[in-house]
Amino acid sequence: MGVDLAVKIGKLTLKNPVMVSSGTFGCGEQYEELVDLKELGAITTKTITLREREGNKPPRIAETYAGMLNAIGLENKGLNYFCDTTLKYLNSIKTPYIVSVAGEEEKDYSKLIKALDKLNIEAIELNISCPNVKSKKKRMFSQDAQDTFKLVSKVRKLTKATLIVKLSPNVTDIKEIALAAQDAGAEAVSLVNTFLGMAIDVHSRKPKLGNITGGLSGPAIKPLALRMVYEAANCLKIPVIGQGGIMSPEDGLEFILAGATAISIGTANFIEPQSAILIKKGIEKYLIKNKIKSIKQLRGTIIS
Amino acid sequence: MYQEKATVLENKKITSQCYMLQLRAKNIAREAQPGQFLHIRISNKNQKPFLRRPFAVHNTENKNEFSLLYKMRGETTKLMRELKKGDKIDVIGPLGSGFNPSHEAQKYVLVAGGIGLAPLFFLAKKLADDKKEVIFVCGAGTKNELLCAKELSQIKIKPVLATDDGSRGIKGSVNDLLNNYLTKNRKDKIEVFAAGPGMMLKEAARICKKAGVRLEVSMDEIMACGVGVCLGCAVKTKNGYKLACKDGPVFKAEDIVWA
Ligand SMILES: Cc1cc2nc3c(=O)[nH]c(=O)nc-3n(C[C@H](O)[C@H](O)[C@H](O)COP(=O)(O)OP(=O)(O)OC[C@H]3O[C@@H](n4cnc5c(N)ncnc54)[C@H](O)[C@@H]3O)c2cc1C
Ligand SMILES: Cc1cc2nc3c(=O)[nH]c(=O)nc-3n(C[C@H](O)[C@H](O)[C@H](O)COP(=O)(O)O)c2cc1C
Ligand code: FES
Repeated sequence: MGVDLAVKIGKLTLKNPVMVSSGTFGCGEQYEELVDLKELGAITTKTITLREREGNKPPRIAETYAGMLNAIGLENKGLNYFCDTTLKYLNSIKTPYIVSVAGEEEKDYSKLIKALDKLNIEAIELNISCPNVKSKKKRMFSQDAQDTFKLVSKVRKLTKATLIVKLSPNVTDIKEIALAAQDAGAEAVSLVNTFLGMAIDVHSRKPKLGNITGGLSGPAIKPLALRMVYEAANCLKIPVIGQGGIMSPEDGLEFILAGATAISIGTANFIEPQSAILIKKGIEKYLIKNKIKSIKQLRGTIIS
Repeated sequence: MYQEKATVLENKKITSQCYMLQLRAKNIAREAQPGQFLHIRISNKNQKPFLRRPFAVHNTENKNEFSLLYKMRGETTKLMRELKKGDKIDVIGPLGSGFNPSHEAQKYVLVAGGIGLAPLFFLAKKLADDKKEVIFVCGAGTKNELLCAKELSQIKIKPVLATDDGSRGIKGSVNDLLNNYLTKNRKDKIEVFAAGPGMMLKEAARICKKAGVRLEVSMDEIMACGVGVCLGCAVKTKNGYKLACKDGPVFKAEDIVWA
């Protein structure tokens, strides 16, 4: 029995629901010798900004219990480089891709979206949840429902691309923010970005990250992320892309049972570059074994 | 770049803190160049350690085999010590860009601080194969910690030694030896290659700059992905941040902005 793994995120159709997360897979090129990119549901690119950003001072990563902290600081070569170089590569592979963008203020987002719209980019992820760069307001857009609503409404009008909004877990009530994104016209939300955290080297008494604080990812955050995806999916009509610590098919299935339409693999790529493909295969097996014809039938079927 | 299940052929203790691990994985062994590294996954059931760890290619043999030299440090190296003949480990490599000796130099000085010997041995072997004159400077705390004297003599290189306690070679550091050597051989065209702790590399860079000699260093950074996607292994250079796993781990010393 063949099973149907296809899902829709806005206007984007994915062959399977397992994608790779922003900042953990480059644009795919770095992994092409190890991973059959065609098998990925989609690739979300490293977040780009209007101008080149040099990133934070090292050390930028630290291992923690079942996870890692990062404070990369959105190092990237900027919009022009992306359009001239990275995009050529992305257009040459057969995998759907989502371009992740971030800015310090609304103007930055608008310029980025307009430029990408001109190039007929199919899907854009608004990263309004990076914990390692401070916006002018000293908090992330996604830490305030009104800020989220205003920004998303504004950029929504500027593009025909599928608009995904990436949310931060560093909030009191994720439902409020997720609803604001939906009301403003987002076609999907993606959660979670990393949890703010820190670590100290007791021998030197220095923080383990040059930036002092950073974002926690990996299995350590999975139960927290799962709870937030569950809450968001229960109050939204638009699809949720679930992520946070997914390492195995079972982890991925938990997110789908909690209501996620698709799932995204981040930190696991560093440990096993084939993670997304192995997880996809595991999910397929689960569906066959349980005689479920389509992944859509499994979504949100947690029994409580 | 390959991901292979490498088979353990031998795992032997060579000093109180260091071990040599011999592995078979044909693609990696065939393509590895001196200065490149491998990203190794080895963890217990609780995903500890969580991330892969980088180790330099120490040597390659008969196209199918390569070896690593590792020093006990934390969880990964503890698990590596337990490996037995026939075990398999997950290795990604060869990664990064390695040493770039020019063909013009008359003498190649290799400066190894402690476990920094690991990648430099491979370079020494290649240079010796090309009939180049190699001066191999190595150092350790005390004579029992000195690495690979026998292996170096097999490729007909006699190491110049320094120990902190003077139990073998001069009492002092590898940089003292480097400085002496460069002072005494001003007329020769020399290139220097160094690997070891950050402070040692910084000092070697100062000495080579003063002597007007070209130096390449292998930088030791904490890594997550090892392939250039996480941007975690940033090294500050005069041209902005570069990635130790992709642009390095070997850099021209003159490009580095030392901390
Ligand atoms: C390109 C490259 C090549 C390397 N080659 C070798 C090699 O041939 N042989 C070898 O023995 N080691 C080598 N290393 C270093 C090795 O990767 C680390 O020592 C590794 O962390 C050991 O893992 P562990 O789990 O045993 O110790 P961990 O638990 O990772 O480390 C113990 C302590 O060391 C610190 N630490 C971890 N990694 C580093 C680092 N890269 N630099 C400074 N401090 C660190 C940690 O913060 C921790 O406090 C290399 C590193 C790089 C980047
Ligand atoms: C090294 C690193 C870099 C990241 N960079 C970005 C980024 O540029 N943009 C973004 O939206 N999320 C970024 N993230 C967050 C991930 O996309 C993902 O949301 C988060 O890590 C949780 O998933 P995980 O536990 O599976 O990694 C990054 C994560 C890591 C570990
Ligand atoms: S370790 Fe990820 S970019 Fe170098």
